Amino acid sequence: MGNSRSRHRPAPSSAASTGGSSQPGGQQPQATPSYPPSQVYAPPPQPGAPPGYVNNGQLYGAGPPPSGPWRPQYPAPHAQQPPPGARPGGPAPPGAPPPPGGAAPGPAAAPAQELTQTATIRNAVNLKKSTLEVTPVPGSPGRLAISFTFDASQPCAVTTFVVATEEPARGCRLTPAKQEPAPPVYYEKGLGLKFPGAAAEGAQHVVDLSLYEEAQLLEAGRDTFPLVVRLETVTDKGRREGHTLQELSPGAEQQPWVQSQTTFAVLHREEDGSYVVRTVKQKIWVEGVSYELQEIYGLEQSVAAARAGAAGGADDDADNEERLCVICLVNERDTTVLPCRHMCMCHECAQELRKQTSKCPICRNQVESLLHIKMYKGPKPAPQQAMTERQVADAQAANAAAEAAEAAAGTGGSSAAAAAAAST
Amino acid sequence: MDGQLPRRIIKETQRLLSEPVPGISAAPSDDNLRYFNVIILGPDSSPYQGGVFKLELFLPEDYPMAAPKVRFLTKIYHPNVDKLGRICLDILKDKWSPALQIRTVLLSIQALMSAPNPDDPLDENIARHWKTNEADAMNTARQWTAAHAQPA
Repeated sequence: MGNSRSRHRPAPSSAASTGGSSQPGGQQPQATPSYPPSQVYAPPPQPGAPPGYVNNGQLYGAGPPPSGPWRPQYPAPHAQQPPPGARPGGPAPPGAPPPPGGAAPGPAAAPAQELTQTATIRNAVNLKKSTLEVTPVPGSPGRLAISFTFDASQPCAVTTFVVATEEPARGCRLTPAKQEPAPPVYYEKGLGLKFPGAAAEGAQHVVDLSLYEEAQLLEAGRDTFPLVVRLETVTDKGRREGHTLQELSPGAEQQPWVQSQTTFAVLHREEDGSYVVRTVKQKIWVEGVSYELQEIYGLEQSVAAARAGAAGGADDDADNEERLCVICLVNERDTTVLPCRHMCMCHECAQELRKQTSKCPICRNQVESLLHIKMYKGPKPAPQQAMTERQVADAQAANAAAEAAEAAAGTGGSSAAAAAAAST
Repeated sequence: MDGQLPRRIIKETQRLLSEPVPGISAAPSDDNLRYFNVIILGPDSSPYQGGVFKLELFLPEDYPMAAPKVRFLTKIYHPNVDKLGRICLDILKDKWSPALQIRTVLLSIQALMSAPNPDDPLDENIARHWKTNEADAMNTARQWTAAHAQPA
């Protein structure tokens, strides 16, 4: 990719559009205006208008040109386009991007910029929200077993909590209201891991309905949630320092050497009396900072594309438009519109768009800021043994970062960092 | 090809030619690749059924930031199309988005032919006709289709 430099840089809006034509050198001779400038619907010029619009009974106008020289009143684009040298801007790379995998993901990266760069966080564990459920324990009325599927690129510990309160100020410590948390269940890394699995401790992860008023299970409070699942891993650094998963006690204040994902859910009572689980939010804990995961619409295709690209497939022309910038149809999508979270543009077009409109191309909602998510496109993976490691990472990328993280650290400013694709 | 033509336009053109939308054809003019000759077949079960409607579509300099300019060349009796063939369609005006493309615009026009909207008229007389006596208006539309929109 990347070598197709002949990309489209939309010309500065002719005359009228949004006021700020801030492009130096982008001035064009205002060729005889033909149609009213775009965006605003101005009624077209009245009768005097186009010559040749004689109603000849068959066509409007004097016979359009199947081959003829008839040219409407449009300016010839050739004449209007500035010479290549005069192109505005040039492919200015946005300010020095942070080295991938580099420094700790600070929650705020230059908030003054409209286009926010992101840090990449490798999400080590991911619970698949749609798989989280509670089912009656056979032979044990009033008890619901908690089950779900998850991916882990590191060994991890799983703990669950019923009606628990989170304390963001204290390392996102979790305190259950009634039931003591069941002992953690430990897993080696893998994809599509099943909880509770075969371990004996698994059977202890249940909701005891007799202990709670129904409302406690159906509604979330400010920091209290009916069902919480935490997946914890030890960071590389933590391991080097000698930390282990066995040190962790369920729900304890999280340490900087822990990386975790926590899923907060409520129960919903179906008409037949059974319960279903609805995930309210997911948070990750990375190097001492808590981020809330937000889904980004359109990220999945891009991650898949990045993976295909890294695997050496997907040529530029075998593209499906799903992953291309909706504006230039050339570059891959890497920029998300906030707050609507539509990942639909490349960052160059996104900045161009901002000069001309404040609406998201997909939903037309107001654009407040742009989030540039750097996709990891590593070298081609070495065959064989590297694959397994890679697959884990990629799968992580695909599902975890289908939910890139928008910073929710502490009170959660408007800052943004994203957990996106990652690899070794 | 014109070296200055944005890649997007080239790609859209290629796709229009290689995967045409059913009932719609659009081909760029030989000497101006931003000018398209368009044909839309009258949609089934509309008064335009059986008609062949020519349109012109032009991509302005700031496309896709600005909407394409589209106009019927073939006469059509439709409340949202005026005597000059101009079309009243929100996505061609204030609801334009650069995520839309030539093909989506033409699909919208095809849909507008299937579902005229006399409540947002461009031609008051036709709209009034449509609202007061829809059957008769559709009849007129059929007559116009037979008279003006036949294949050459």
